[in-house]
Amino acid sequence: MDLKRRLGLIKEKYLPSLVFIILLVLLWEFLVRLFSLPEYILPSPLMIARTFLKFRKILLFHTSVTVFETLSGFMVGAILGFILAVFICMSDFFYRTFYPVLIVIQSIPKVALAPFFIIWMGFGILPKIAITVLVSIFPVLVNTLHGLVFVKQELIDLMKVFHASKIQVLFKIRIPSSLPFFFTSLKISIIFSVVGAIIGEFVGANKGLGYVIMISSSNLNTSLMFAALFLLGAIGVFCSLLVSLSEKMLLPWHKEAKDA
Amino acid sequence: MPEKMIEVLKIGKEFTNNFKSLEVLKDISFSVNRGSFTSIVGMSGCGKTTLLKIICGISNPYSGQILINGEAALKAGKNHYFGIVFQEPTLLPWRNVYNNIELPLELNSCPRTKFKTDDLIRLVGLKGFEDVMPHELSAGMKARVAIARALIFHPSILLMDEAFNNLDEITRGNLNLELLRIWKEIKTTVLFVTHNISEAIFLSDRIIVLTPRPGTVRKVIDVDLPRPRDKQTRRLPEFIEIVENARELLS
Repeated sequence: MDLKRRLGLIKEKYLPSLVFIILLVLLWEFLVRLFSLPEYILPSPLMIARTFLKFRKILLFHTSVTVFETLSGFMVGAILGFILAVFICMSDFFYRTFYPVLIVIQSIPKVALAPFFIIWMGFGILPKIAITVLVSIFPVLVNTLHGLVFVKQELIDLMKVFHASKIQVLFKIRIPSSLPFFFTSLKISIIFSVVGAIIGEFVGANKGLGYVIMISSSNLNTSLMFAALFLLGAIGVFCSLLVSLSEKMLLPWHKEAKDA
Repeated sequence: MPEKMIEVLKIGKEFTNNFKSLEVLKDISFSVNRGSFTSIVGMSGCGKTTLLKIICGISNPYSGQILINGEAALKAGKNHYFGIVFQEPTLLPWRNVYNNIELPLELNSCPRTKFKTDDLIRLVGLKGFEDVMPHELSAGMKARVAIARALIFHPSILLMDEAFNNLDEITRGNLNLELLRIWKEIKTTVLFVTHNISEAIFLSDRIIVLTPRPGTVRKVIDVDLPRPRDKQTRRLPEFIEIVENARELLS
């Protein structure tokens, strides 16, 4: 596909939403001016942008802290979740012991545990990562387990006819079939991870975007709060894109198989 | 070598769940001659698939006995006696045609040179499609891949479980002809399960008609139509007569 046509397609795909966003921002600016709202109630987009530029160095630092907490917790959670899923799938005993427990734990809001982690681990980065691990591990575990367990019976029969061992079934059939489920769960987990890191920072921290929001809230610096909020949004979008991109690269057969 | 490749002796099977037990097969006996093409015909739910699974040793327990090449089934199961094709092609979507066909070799860590995958690909008419992924194939092509995969160990017995069920009429007809061509070339014993009466008669030397649940043998019909069979075969009065007879047995 030549570049021109490609650009044309992108334009066609994203132009409407882009126009919508621009209109929304303009409307916001207009309404704030029309009712001359004070900055601490609702700052206009222009004021937020100005604050953003003014504090850009500090904001960048706090953003990097939150990104680090999010990604490190997410990765540890995803890897642990995947490994646990494989173990639970391979052993009936583990399955019967842990699966019901998991379902119960999954329904507890893990962020409510944030204060506990602050007590146990202090105000540093560690408790944030711990919460992030905790919130990201369960979606991965439950979804991947589903993908590992519910494989087409005919595939299993086929493997039996060819005398495949349990380990071969795991590596040749179960794990590849579970990967689409794994990546779907990653998309959920990455968003949870951002939330986890922020909650950790809300509860007790001296750096990170959650901390920035708390501090600027007590100073009634609403513009700075919004600047931090938009950065959080950007982190979420960036991380989700990262996951989608790696799925596209690692599982080319899946997307196309669905389209076909 | 015994002339009978498969002997099914008084096979019965019950499925039991919590409260009920369901008898799916009852007192089934028949035999399949070496190198012959035999079909099992019956309505949906009469236990055809279960019977096939019992024969190749993946559905336990059952009552009665299965002899494969004169040996008890359990012992026979250790060898590569069977190739199997299911109703769904059950290809692995992350492997191309070539690697799907070679999956059984990998599972048994067999040297690849010993089994001529390329010859097999030519045999089933997939030459040039080796690198294609399953989702890029038509349903008929997928069925061909599944057949090639089943034949990789040169099995003595090819089991086919409604293998052409999901195909359109034309593709199905073509694959019936292709299957006869392949069978003629490799001279294996074929046991073919279907609910399509005319397909069964077109392909087979002998058809085994099962009753609805619990499945029992209603009748064994020898099909004495001349070979090689082609599109004209279906128009022969003898063919039509056998189809009519079998249809009456089933209704």
